[in-house]
Amino acid sequence: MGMGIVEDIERRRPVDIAAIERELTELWKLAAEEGTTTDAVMRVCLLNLLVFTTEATRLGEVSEVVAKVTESAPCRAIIMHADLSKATAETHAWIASHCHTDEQMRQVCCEEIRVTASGAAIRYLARTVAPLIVSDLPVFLWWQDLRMLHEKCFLDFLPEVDRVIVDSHGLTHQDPQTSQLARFVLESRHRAAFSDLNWTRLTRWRDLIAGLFDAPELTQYLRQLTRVTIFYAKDEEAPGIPFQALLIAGFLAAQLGWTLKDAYQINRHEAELRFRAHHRRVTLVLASQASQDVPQRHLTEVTLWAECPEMARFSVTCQLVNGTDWLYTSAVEISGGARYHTTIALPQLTEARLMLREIEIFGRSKPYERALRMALDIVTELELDAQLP
Amino acid sequence: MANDLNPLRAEAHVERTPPPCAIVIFGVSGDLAKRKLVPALFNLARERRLPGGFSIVGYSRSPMSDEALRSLMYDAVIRFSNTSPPTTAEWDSFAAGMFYCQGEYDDIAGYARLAERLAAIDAERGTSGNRIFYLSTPPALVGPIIDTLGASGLAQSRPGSWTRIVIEKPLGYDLATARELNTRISRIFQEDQVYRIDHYRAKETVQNIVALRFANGIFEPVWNRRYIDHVQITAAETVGVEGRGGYYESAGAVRDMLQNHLLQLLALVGMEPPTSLDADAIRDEAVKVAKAIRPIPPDEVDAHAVRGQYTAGWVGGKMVPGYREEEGVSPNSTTETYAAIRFEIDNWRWAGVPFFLRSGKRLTKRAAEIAVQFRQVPMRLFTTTEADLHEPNLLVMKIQPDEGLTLRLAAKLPGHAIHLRSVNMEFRYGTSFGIRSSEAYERLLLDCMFGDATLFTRRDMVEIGWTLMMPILDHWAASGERNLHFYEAGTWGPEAANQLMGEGRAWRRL
Repeated sequence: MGMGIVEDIERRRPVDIAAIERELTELWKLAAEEGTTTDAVMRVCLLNLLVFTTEATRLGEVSEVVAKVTESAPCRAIIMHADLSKATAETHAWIASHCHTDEQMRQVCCEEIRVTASGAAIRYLARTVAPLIVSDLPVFLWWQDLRMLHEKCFLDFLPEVDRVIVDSHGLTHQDPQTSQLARFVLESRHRAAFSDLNWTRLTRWRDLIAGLFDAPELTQYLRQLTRVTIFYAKDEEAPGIPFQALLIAGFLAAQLGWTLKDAYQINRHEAELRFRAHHRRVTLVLASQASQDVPQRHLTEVTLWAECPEMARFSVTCQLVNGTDWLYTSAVEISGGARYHTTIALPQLTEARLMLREIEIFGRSKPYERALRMALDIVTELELDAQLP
Repeated sequence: MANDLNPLRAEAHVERTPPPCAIVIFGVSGDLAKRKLVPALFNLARERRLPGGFSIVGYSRSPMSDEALRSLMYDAVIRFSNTSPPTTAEWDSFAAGMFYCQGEYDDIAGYARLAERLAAIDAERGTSGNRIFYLSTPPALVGPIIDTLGASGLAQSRPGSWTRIVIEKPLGYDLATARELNTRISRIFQEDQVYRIDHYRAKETVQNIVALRFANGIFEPVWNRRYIDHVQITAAETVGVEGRGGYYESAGAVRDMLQNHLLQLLALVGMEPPTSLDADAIRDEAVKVAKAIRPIPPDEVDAHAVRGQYTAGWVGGKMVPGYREEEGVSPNSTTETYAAIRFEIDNWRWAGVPFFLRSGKRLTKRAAEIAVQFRQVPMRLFTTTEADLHEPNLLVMKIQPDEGLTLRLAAKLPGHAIHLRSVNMEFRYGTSFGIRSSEAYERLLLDCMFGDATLFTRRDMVEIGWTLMMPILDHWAASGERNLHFYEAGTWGPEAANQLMGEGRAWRRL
């Protein structure tokens, strides 16, 4: 957007939690007095963004993401840090403003409240933070610690928020947290909708794969698919199929009405799944590729084959160019028929970009829940297969 | 939707993609194609908004190869696209769907070659026989192209496919020529195949008028004669004719701006709530309110309309020539570079509420907006002193350059005494939503691919526009210089325009 960020870190100051609103008003006055532009400081707020982390080292990154998000979606951000290293029950708060100056030199500022809790205060973090939420605006909670999904600290937030955002990126089918997370989301009866940044990373893939079949003449091939391969960038150190690959497999199978019949792990990084699709069988292979460009565990290629009777091949591939953009190529090859490809360059999916996408969405996503349910079935089947002699 | 039968799209939170199609741009070597159309299509491709296999076929008289067209358009995208330059891979992929066909605009053999090319593209790139014919040509060629499309069979949609035609303004020179053009179009195309471009309608704020009025319960109860004093619609430019003196001589401010763009804005502000967001539901209401505009009797034109022409003056710190000194302009020209019109709407909602429209070149500032001026409170509770500077409430919908909304309210100044000031509450698109708004042509091209004609002008609206303007244009044409008011470049137009407003009202200083 070409906006300059003028975050005045020095303006971040410790405050008494009970007096945060008053202190914020003071901060706005200060911003107006110190403003370098002739226009008044504009206070715009579209939503509340709550972030929870247990890692102190992440606070700087989170603050940067929040600053980026507020460029496009001004919000009240409340960044919570649970300090698990301290046993004493303490809560401290700081406030700061993020100011952005646009091309016309207008200054738009948004508020950031940072709360650190330790000991028993962590359990009551939701009580501390609830009064700080700006009323009548949507509340998004970005929860960064998947280990704490069953704890009071997290559960108390659920009545207060509209959307909970997690990130399953680090998980593979072998992590116990994978199925725990999936079950928690699928069985949740709270009003808050759940979403996963890892699913949002797949939006481009889902869109591009769907786009291959938009032409009415090509849609029919979806009913003739017999084989699918999903490649992801290998992570030598982490065995198991990354959850992102399982989600895209779950998406394809669920949207196309396939029934999982069998799943087995070929080796540490590969698995084969067999589905029944009406009157045919579909084999889906999840496999790794060595990739120097694409970050580990991210998808690199999805190819779908159909036989009806002519061979048809549909694919989406991804590679990193110039270290900045991702180049996606969608290709259609039908023997004796259409043959074309489309290439587009898209910026890397940073956490800020993913969050911006997340806060555009309200309510539950049925495709996500269907894909998650199917991914959970695949994980369960792979676990069962692993137990076989 | 791209294809409602594609199960991978079911319930997905992804942007819509239109069905596969090809666009044929007549006059592809012209300015509009290079400055607007191809850069807009490239931006859409980059944002994943175009269908796979989407193809462009350029058609014009000049001999050119596919490669030469691609190279020409590469330069155009680099120069005119408002996003970063394409990477080699991106451009190669976009350009692979770009083809050229040479021929005369009325040569049926040329159109036969075009049909062959399109059939081959359907087979190779899966464009499914869906076509858009975009007439990016001088007005004189529109008729011959339409006739030849008809004669060649290209205007016909194949079963299961669609064919659409996009026509740029001017849509006629007057009522008679507009009707003639419409009749000519209707001999070949059904009205639902015809997309008449009004790029003003695709601007974000203009679309937001409908959202503001009909998605917010607080405005509708006060949106009538009881609470609104008058409405001002302004489109002001600082530029002159920019080397297009020849064109402007036969156009003028009324034909160029008021008859189409400003009248459309009036219709959006004045229309009744549509029953749905369906294109025809909105356009029906727009036509209904336009029909309720009281025609100006020929003998009362001078009381309802003012025209002006700029003379030399200072704009943006530079001396600029007067209109009559511009290239391609007659030294005795009476073409209006400024026009202001007062309209009344004869219906229950608006009886007695004047709508003031003004547009001009070489004015003080570039600005386009709709200002809804509310009535004064019924009783002046607060005694007026010199310290009180509050004015009636005002809602301003800013269209350019800074899209947004402003609501003017009265507030008490801090202190023991009660003194009032007017304060503005501002909502600006640029600072509230940091995302880039689509360019008008991107939105319009995409809507045409979707078959959504909401932002395009229907035949009846075009003809109503001309019907309302003809008494004014005829009167001015017959008046010579008599009612032509000269204004200095860099000012807000002729003083006579202020007299249109009547007692107690004034044009806004923007």
